[in-house]
Amino acid sequence: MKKMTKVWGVWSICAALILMLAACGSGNKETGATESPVATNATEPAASASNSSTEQVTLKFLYIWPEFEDKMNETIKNFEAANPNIKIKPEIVPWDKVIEVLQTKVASKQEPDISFGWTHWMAPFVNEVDAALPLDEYLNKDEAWKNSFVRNDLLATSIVSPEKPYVSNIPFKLSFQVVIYNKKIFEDNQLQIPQTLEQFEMIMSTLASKNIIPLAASGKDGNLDILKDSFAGMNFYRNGTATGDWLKGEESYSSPEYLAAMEFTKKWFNQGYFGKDSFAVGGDEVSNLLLSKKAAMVLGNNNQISALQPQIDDELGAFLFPAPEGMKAQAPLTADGFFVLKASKHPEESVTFLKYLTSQENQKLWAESTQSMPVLKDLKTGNETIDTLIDQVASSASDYPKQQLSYNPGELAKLLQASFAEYLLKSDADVKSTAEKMEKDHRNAINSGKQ
Amino acid sequence: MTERKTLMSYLFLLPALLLFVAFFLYPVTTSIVRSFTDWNGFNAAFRWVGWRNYETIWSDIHFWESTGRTLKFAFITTVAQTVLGFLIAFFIYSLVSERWKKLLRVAIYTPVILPGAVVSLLWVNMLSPNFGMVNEWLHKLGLGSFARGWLGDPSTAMNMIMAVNTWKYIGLTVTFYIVAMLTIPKEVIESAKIDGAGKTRMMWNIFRPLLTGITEVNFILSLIGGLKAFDLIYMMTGGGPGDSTTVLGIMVYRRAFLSFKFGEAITMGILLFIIILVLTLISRKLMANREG
Repeated sequence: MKKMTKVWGVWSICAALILMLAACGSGNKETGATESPVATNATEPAASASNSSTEQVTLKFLYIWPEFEDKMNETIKNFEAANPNIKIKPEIVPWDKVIEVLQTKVASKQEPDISFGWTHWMAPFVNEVDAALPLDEYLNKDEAWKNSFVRNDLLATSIVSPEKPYVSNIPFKLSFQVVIYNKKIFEDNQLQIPQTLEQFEMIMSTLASKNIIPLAASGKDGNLDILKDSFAGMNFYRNGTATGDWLKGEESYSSPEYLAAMEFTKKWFNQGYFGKDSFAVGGDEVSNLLLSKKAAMVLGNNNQISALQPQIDDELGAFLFPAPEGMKAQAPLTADGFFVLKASKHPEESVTFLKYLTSQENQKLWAESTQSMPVLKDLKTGNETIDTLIDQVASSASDYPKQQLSYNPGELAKLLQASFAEYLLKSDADVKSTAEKMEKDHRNAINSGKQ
Repeated sequence: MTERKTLMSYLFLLPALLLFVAFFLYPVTTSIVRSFTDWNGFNAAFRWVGWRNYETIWSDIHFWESTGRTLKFAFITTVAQTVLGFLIAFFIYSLVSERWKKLLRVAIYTPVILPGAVVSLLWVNMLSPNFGMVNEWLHKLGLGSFARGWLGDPSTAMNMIMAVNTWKYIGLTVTFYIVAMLTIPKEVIESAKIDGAGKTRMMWNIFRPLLTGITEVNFILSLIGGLKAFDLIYMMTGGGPGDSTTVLGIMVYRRAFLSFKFGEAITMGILLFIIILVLTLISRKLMANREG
């Protein structure tokens, strides 16, 4: 009897294991990328919409910001009340894991209908994976929606290549580089918000002479590279040389404009304007320098202001990084946004949700309660810092050249950062040979992407 | 009856075999196959590209630079862990007080069980140029000229990570050594003492040769750990400043999750596996020869 029990036990374990293995492979019989049920959805949005009014639809929604879970739940509740046939099933992931999570979901055919995505980081999802639904048709059908955004070039930031010239992402919260400053330190030192790059440099010199870190920035997290690229962009714009290769992201690092930007950043770096050992300092420590009042300004992102203000008794303010005399400030707009997955069976309903996310009502709710920077023009939040920044953004130059990257710049950005860091850290580093190395890495990355 | 017994034994092996196939053989085979494809990690579809990934990696200067850094990291941490681990283990073993023995054993093993992320954050904060304890103490001790941004200077970043890696994993080496020391017959130790052997002679002439086996195990485990290093480096420096701490693990991660070139990332993984295998075989051979 005992023996029989053992035999049955063994068989049961084997059966369970086989079932387990089989279960791992089930539900995934399609061969994937080449099959694209979505393409049909993309071109015929109206057809799928015909079912939408009657059918109960559940949309899977992937987003970041665990800290705003309550607010997103409120948004979802309001949306569901207005659209009783649509249910939203949310899933939150940390911002730095969203790519990996989405990658796994797409690979296992468990993708959401709507996912978080950065407007300027759509190349992987459009070019390499072809997972993002083109949204132009939906935008063209609703002119009011299309024209509601703060600057007319905002939607275009998600267009990634001439081969696929469509909007793939709808912005939700603006995200751009700002200078966050301590108003009290400015007052104590009789400083005003700089209007030009020249004034900005003078302010930094004054602060440095008083042993205050003028503009804390993290070399480790790539702040200095962004700054250098901004300088280069300004130089190209001023000289009218931002054409051809540069616009395609196949820039010539050996151009005088780029070399000047590298040298200018190094000058500030050597003068200690970014703080001590900025390559040993991450984003959190940069924030701590501002909070501990060791730094008067930090190079940050507009979304940081709301997180930093409650932690310091001095009032914080923010302004756009100023341009040289005679030029409008440059606000390279990007946004935290959302896109619809091509594989979604409910593109029409998904777009309806995107419209709700960018509605006046919802944008105001988020701006008021989370200090998010709204993406709509003519929306006053009542928050002085946010409203001032929005006005600055609206009046900032939208005609600065924008690069349209047809390749995924992720790993390349790290290589370029590494070369630039070496240039900044080595006193005897030669700007031209550094630029040549960067150019070589850039060409290799583009060529390997074309293979 | 014998046939039935044989059948039963195969039946008992089946669960382990299934697990082996599902969690080892299948992933390894798939990885090798996919290293010959342009798989992007997102889609099930991929194209066969032959040896192209291997050619790309082989001709990539950054891969070889990272390999050099990985080898340097692995060898230095292995030697440091093995030598220091042996010395610390001998010190703890030689202590008279049982209470101190227990306390030190627990203290030295604690970092091993701490998650890599926690250890990284701890040390990043301690080594911070603005708020860090290390620089603060250097100033207090009148050694302020040595204070620096330890992780932001290419000349010190890798050394610091190697020190932290050794600090984190040395507890494992020490534990293995202590366990092995406890198996040495008391008679041998007593005889050596009667013959007048001091602590140093005992350590060198009794403990060291009798612990060759565990030294080999420690050496190989540390070497493999060093070659696979990723979490501490990723959290502490992200591979920087410049590319001074970009080891192979970091490159594999970037190629897979930033460039979405899983085919190439797997190829790097396979090359890393071959390096580990070759080095392990060489070190085993060397140690076997010494024993011989």
